[in-house]
Amino acid sequence: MPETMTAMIMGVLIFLATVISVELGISVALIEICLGVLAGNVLGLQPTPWIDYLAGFGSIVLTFLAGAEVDTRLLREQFKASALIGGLSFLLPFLGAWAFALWVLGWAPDAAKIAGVALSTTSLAVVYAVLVETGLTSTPLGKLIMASTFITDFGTAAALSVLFVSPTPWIVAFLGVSAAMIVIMPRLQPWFFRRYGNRVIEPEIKGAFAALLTLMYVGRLADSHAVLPAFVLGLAVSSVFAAHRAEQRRFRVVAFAMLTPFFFIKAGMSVGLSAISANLAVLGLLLAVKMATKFLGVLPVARRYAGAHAMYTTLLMSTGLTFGTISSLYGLQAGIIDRTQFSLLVTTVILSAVVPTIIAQRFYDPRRARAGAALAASPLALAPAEEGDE
Amino acid sequence: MEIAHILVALDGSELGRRAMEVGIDVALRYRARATILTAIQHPAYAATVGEVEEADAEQRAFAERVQRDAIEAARMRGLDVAAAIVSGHPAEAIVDYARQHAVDLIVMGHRGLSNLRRFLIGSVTDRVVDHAPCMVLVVTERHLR
Repeated sequence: MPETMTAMIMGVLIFLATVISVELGISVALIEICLGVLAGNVLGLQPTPWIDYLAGFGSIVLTFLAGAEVDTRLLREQFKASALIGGLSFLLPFLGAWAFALWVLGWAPDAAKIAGVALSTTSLAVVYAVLVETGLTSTPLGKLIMASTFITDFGTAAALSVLFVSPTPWIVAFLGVSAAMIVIMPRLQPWFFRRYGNRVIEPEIKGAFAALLTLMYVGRLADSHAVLPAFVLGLAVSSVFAAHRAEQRRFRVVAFAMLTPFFFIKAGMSVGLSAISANLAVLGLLLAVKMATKFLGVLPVARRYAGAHAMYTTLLMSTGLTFGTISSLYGLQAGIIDRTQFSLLVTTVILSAVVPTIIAQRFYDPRRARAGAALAASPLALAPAEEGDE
Repeated sequence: MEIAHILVALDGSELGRRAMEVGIDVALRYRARATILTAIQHPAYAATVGEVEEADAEQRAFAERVQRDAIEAARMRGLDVAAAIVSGHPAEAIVDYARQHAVDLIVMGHRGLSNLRRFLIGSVTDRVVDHAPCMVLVVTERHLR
């Protein structure tokens, strides 16, 4: 297929995904993945090197955005409880899925690690959407869940960057460049925004893109993945973004319009429907492992910190989407997992965005428990928290 | 029959505006208090917080604009109305609000949906009619002609 035709089909798919997303009220990312599956399996569209590169950059931009969306004040307020819930929410599913893939499914050690990372995730965006929808974002319960999600995300990003590192001299350069950017960029940005900001030629966005492209390049030289430094860099500049909402919005506009669609459509294109239909039992088992290990890790501590809403907290911590997809696609592009393994992991990740969310909202919605006696037993009230409230 | 509290569901459409006019008529006739309600819905299973935040901000701004116009229209006819913006699926939000605030009558518009849209997302009005704890007055496209 000529490249111009591939580009045209991608353009049409990206446009269609947006329209369908608005009409159905479902996130554009999920629609893009579905259209990608359609394009790859029905239209026979195959990823090209330029799609691969844009998808890779899209994944780094998504990671940077995830870091920039962390509310650092909230994280400090809720640190002890969220470190426990978020830490266990990462650790047990990571170890459980890794062991399951290695010993039960017989995957290669590195492929099993990818399974562990991909299924350890919690989707901050899915959690945030549910909390906004139920009006819980400013309650102690909502704050606890979001802060815990930040910790899980950090664990996932760290695992993906650290687990596949090869001991080469480039590691030193990767660490040095990453550390320099993380230290310098937040200090430079306020001056940079004042001097060059608010122009249609977007120096702020180009500066951030230059930093992320540099991280990608040095990460590649070091045989690593720039996901951890990109996440931490986002975290480091989150307060600058919070103070410059217009710039943050423009960054999102550019990312959602031009970069992230390539990532999600490429992820969908790489899914083989025949691989899924031939391995439905494995798919069910992977989802069960993710859910079961999330429950094992989160539920006991959630009982302590979220009381009557422990099940709701656990279910929301069991969701996954973006980081799971990023980890799986990294595994596929690095040749660590094959297309069947990728298809199974991404489908499990998508199912984990949908299944726990539906169960949480249908059966454990705290608004419905508000009038019930269970609420009285909870250490967390549902009234909006005061400033600095823990 | 006593109608003390009327809820008008507004979505920014022409039918919603017409429903508002009908709601004002009924409220004045029955000397009832009226509340206008607009539901805002966030993208399900979002991949980024930004997608949710931006959708929330855009829809909230739209809802506030729609409600401002409706409040002004009611005031010009001598009726003070309360207003609320709630998150969630519109049908669920309308029914929940009606239950929690002792609403006696819901007034809302109903546009004809294609078979495909009805299959995919269903009709908000159908769901409200099915689950509402009170009477529902539906303004259809025929009333616009």
